Amino acid sequence: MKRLAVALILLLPCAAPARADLAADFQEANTLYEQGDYPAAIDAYGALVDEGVENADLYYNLGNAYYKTNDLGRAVLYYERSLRRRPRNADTRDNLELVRSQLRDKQFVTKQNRIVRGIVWLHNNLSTGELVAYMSLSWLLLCVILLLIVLRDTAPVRTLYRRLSVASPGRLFGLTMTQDLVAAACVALILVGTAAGSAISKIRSEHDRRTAVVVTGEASVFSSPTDNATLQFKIHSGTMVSVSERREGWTRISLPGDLSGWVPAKAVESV
Amino acid sequence: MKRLKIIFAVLPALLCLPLTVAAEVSLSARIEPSVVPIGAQATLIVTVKGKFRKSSQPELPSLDAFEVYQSGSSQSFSIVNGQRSSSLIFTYVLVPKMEGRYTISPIRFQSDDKVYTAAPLSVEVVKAQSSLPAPTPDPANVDSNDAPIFIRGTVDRDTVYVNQQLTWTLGFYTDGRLDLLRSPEYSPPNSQGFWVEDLPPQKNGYQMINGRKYLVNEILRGFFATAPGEFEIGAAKVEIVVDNMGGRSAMDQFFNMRQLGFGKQRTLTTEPKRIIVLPLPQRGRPDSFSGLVGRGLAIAMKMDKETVRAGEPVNVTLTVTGDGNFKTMAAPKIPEIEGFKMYESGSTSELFKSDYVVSGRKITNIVLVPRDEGETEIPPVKLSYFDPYEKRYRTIESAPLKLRVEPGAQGEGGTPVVFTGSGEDIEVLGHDIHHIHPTPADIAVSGTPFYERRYYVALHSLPMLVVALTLLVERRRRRWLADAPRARMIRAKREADKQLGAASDMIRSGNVEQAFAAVSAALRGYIADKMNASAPGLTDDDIETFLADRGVPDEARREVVSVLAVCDGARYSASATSPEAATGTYARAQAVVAKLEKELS
Repeated sequence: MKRLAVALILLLPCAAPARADLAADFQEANTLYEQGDYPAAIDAYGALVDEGVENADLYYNLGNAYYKTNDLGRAVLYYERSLRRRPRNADTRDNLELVRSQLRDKQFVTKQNRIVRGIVWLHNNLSTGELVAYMSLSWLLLCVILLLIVLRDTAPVRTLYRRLSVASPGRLFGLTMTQDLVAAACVALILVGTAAGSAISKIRSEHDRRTAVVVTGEASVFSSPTDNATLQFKIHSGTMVSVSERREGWTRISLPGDLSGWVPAKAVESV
Repeated sequence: MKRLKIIFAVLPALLCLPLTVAAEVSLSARIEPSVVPIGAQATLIVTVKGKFRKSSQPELPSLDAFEVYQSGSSQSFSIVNGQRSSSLIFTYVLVPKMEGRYTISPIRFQSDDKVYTAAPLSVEVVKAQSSLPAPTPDPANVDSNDAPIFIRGTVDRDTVYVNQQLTWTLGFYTDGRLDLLRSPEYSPPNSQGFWVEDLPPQKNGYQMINGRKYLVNEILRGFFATAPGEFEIGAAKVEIVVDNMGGRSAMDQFFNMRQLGFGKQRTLTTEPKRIIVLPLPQRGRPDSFSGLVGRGLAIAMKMDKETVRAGEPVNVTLTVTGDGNFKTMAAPKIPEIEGFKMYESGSTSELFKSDYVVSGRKITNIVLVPRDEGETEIPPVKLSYFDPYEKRYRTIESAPLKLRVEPGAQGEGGTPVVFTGSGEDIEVLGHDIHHIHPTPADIAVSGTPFYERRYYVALHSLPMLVVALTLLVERRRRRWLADAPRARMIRAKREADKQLGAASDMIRSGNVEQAFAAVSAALRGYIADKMNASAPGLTDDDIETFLADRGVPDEARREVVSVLAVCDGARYSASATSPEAATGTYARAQAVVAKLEKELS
């Protein structure tokens, strides 16, 4: 029994221990912010980030502190980091929208049909952990349905189906039990596919640090990663870019609409 | 079972489905105008939308009734759901050669081994309204040296405004006195300070100069100055090789000297042209000036719907058409509208070169998202351009549009709010960010997220493993069920035990006679199952023969026959039906079934 308990503890996710002094440091940073000492608050929140704390509230507060010092680029960066961990937080979304309305560069918006809007909603409103959990549950559901298909001729499965199929839409279309189960498996498969696609895309984006924000006031975008290259265009603080390549001192970025080029690495920071 | 195999074969492919949705390409083509007189030009516009290789070109069908010239291409893009899609517009000038009604076969476009086709087009060629005028060079520039072959560069004006079209013409004059041994090679003039567009098609005609009839071929180019000042359109060169041997001798014909590279090479050049480029006047320049220099501009605005719910987007399209260089034109803007969010979602520019004048069309797409319900007017969009012929700025504007905004769906546009009472409306005095959050309870140094731990990934294989194992077991069970004799043999002992159990219950309840019958049925049934025969028709001889054939020892065979005889005797004579005798027979039957199970398995 003891061994089982130890094994269960080992299996618990994110088993890093909480530290009481982290909470005290966070509170101290909040006090500095409330006193209007925003640069000191930024340092205090930043120290927590440097210690390895990745917390939606911490990023949110840091975004606020940067906004108060008029550093809109880093405000966008930390609000985005906060939303990555807690995508449905209304405060963070409101603040980000307010900051975006003050940015110098125009923001692109996408047109979406209903189905894509639904998928994109899931992608934008669920954190990576939630998406993975949703994918795991869909996968489990798919396996259960496949198990029922395999055992469809056994009495317990037939009885179970008779009881549960009252709520099945397949009944309306006159589907047999097997057809109904196959239809359910297809639906579960689509759920698994969309959740897996979305989760993998998020995880890859986090690992490759592909989304970044311009954090300097103005960033010049050059045709190649050299100082004497042709200046193609300029982007400004707070603009979101996609990162496709990194070289020493330079980052290759792209924007919607075939706009791409190299910026000095310090001009952008990955979300 | 076959169906199941299909399901499992298809599942992995289906799993990949959402990740491999093919990008669609759409191809469309149109001709403007669809009725064209001989000598005039029609423009064929081919539009390719979607994701495709930029190097691909449309394949035009054979157009024998027309001279065809490509007059350029333009690219635009749009972002839909985060997916970038491009559209390429290819324009061609069609010059009809003969009258008639023609159907142009579908235009093809190949990208990534897929071929896309546009719908067929029809065009009608009618009689010329007036004869094509012959090229008329400036009399001052007429060559007076009576040369048999010469070139001349002319411009339609030597003073232009920035971005105003200037047409430069290269004339190639030959009177037939000299033969050319190969096609002339043309080098365009230096055009620094200008943005240049070719103006197809080439003009051909005859002209009398100094009493001689010259064949004149003219190439036209449109020049647009990019800055004010004094610029020069450089000298154009044409390299020719003329026949200097007469080319009539039998020797020449025998050796075909012309093809061996004989002949005299000459370079013809044009005079450079000085062009004065005037700046656009600062005075009277409207705020809505788009940078376009041209004439005959028109602007139209339309929406994809007239009624929309709060929070839902409505697409507004602004289309500007007219003469001028549309590539330098800034997109028109809708004035800020209170209660609306506004986003630009892409723009397209097309250039046309009808009758040697560069004209164009710019389409700008804007997404409006209304916040509040009610009737709203989308105000007219103003656009100003400079008309170089009237030397003044002109402003055009679109008609306003009406938009009805209905209450938004709950959760999307927010819960509808109704204000009642006679008090004042609440006035919003300022906006700021929301306040910081308090210290979170779960603050900790982050570890590896659960989904990146190996055990979590490995756990996902377990349910599928269960499905696979169940499938194997189920398949085995079904195979056994399909083999009835084998199934009977396997179930024989279980069935016999069940009946013997019933017999035991009967003995306990004092129903001795029926207990003997149950023991007999259990034993006969067991052997019948093993023989795959019918129990009621089984004789003692059949049983003995079967058991002997299967190598059952004599002792066990005799015991079976003996137990059956006791049971039969008890059923038909009352003397032997004591409970003790029944219990003994039951025990013997149980023992013999166990022994037979060992021998017959």
